[in-house]
Amino acid sequence: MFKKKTLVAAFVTLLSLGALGQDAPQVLAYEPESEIPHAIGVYITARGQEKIFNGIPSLMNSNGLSLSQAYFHKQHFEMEEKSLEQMLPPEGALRDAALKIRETLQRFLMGLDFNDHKFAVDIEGIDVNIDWQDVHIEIDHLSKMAGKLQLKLVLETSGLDLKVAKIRAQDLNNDFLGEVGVDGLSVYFDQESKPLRIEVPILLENKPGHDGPALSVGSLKSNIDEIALGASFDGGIILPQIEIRINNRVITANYSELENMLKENEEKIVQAIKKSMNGWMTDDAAATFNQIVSERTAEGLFKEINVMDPAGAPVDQLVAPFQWGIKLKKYNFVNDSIHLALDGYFKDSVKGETSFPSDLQANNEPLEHRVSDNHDFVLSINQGFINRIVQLSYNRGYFNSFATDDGENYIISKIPEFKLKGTDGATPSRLEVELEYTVTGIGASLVNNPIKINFDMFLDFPVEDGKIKIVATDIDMESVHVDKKYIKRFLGLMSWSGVVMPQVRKRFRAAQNDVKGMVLADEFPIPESMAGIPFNVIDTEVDPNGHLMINIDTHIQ
Amino acid sequence: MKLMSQMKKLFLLMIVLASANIFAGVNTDVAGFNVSGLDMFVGKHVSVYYVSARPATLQTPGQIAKVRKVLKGPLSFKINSNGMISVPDVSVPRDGWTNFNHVIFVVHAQAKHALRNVDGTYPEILDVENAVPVKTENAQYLYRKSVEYSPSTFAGTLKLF
Repeated sequence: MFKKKTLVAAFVTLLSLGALGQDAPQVLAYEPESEIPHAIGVYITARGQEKIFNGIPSLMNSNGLSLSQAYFHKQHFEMEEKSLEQMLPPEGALRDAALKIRETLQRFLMGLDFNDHKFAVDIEGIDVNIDWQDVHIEIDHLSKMAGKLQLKLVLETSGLDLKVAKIRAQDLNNDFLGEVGVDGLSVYFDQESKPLRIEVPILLENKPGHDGPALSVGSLKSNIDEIALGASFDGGIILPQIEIRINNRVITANYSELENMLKENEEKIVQAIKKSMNGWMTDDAAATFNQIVSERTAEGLFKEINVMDPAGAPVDQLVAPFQWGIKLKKYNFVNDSIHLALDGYFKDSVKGETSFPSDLQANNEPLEHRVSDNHDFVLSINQGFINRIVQLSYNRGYFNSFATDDGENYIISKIPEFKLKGTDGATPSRLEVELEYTVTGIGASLVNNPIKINFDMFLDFPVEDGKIKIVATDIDMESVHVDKKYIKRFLGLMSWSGVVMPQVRKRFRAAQNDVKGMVLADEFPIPESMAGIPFNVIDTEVDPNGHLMINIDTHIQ
Repeated sequence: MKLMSQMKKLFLLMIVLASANIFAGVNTDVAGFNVSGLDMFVGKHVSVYYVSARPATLQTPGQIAKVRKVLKGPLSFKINSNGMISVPDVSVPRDGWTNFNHVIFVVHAQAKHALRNVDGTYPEILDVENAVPVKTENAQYLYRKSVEYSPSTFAGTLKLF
């Protein structure tokens, strides 16, 4: 009646990953139905912190960003319209001199009237190359003891090369002035310069409410005043064409002399650049960054939605993916690990909204002593996340019926349920299954076909070649059960239960040895990496609160 | 003071801003390659995007990287009777602080395709020459896949499905 291969067929289909296909386009928003608390926990151990904090350039590169090279093709920048008076300092010698010169020129020269100024700057071909000697993050241990995550990003370089192919500025309200600019501007480190060191304080603070922690940056520190920069102009200098005509004689400006003067003042230009960079770092950078972060994280620091191929989907068909969403709820410290707690959900737009019973999920976080310090990360996955995937795939009909090679038909009549809660050394994890089966032959006269058989399988999650397998270690014989409503009564009085149940149990007992060690899934579908950090799964544990704890090492190049 | 102020703005520009519409010679050369495994889409179109993208935080099977910027593309091809397309050599420009790190393949029925992220956002476009107008009807697709770029992955024939 019940053969071991039915189990294999059912669960391999149930848990293996299906087609990579997907259907119609979806635009997704973080709109959870049945949001699962602490769906995923990321524990970054002291070892993991060491690797991440010293692997920033590589991680940025994996996420499509470079810390060392940048190229800006073309920038256009327009300043506000201002009069000369508004542009000058409110008082002082420069203001007095400039206004006096303008007054004198306009007094003695006709036609030299200026509109309010509106400067525009066009910059092309900005090529930045930085050879970082050191990029790392330091954790503030005093803040950590107070439960706060205070970090310091440290960047150090003695190799900076900035080239600008073309800079042009013009006054849009005074066309006659034409363009001024330079070609081939280079700014670079002098060989004898001290390394440039920049420190960026970063604070992550838990906030009340549902939006999770907030990120802010403190005032940057740098030694830019102490570094030696050089600058050069490889190309020409563009200046307005100036002519003064006295009777028939035309007097022009000496442009080569003007160019020489500009080049002789490279040192002053470099000083101006250094001063402006320093001013930007100490006064503006943190405010600018915090404003950008604030605007982009109005609904929480980290919230993400994406798609996943459904488990058990037919391999030869394109099917619509499931949607998932995760958001950072809070962080804390668990032993020496930084713990990021993420709520999350799965849903299926194809089938519409489906409720998810809360008793299928773990409602408490993993026990702290279950978090190993011996690896780089521990990833906890709430059994609710697993059960939700199973539920959605089941509702799609990907594994609710199957036929065996010998023509037997079985139906998985209830959504299988992973039970990790309560697991400890003496009590293994379970998978609860209900099968529908039509009894044939003489036995059919004893039951109300089709019958439903309930049973639990004990589970283990071993790791082989970096893949987590789901292995049945045994059948819980105590759990094998057929409800009495499926068993007929002799002459309407005595139940045939005494005949049917021993037969059922006999079948299960016969299959028991074959079930031990049976691989239900070759690969548990966990992420291959997280935020560009590759995962090397080492082993797993099951937390009694209902989480699969996955111990992970990583190698960040 | 004003000079300082202008220089600050210039420095800010260099550091922060990144709008662009011309190309320069700071590119990644991607050799031509074939894409196979598109048998079920014969006669349909594939648009290929060379992008800077952030893979999903949880890299679950079938996830789609969030595209920050389209550096080159879309280059569109009709799928031949063998379920294949041939993509020619392409030079992918750098831009800002972004890196070219993913290639996005989108199979679509309409003639042109404009890339839209899973969360409904549209990425920045560097390659205005090949850009397709951003409209909902242009964002329709039948299938899409993001593949992390490495020269070895894209050598020869890439089986997409």
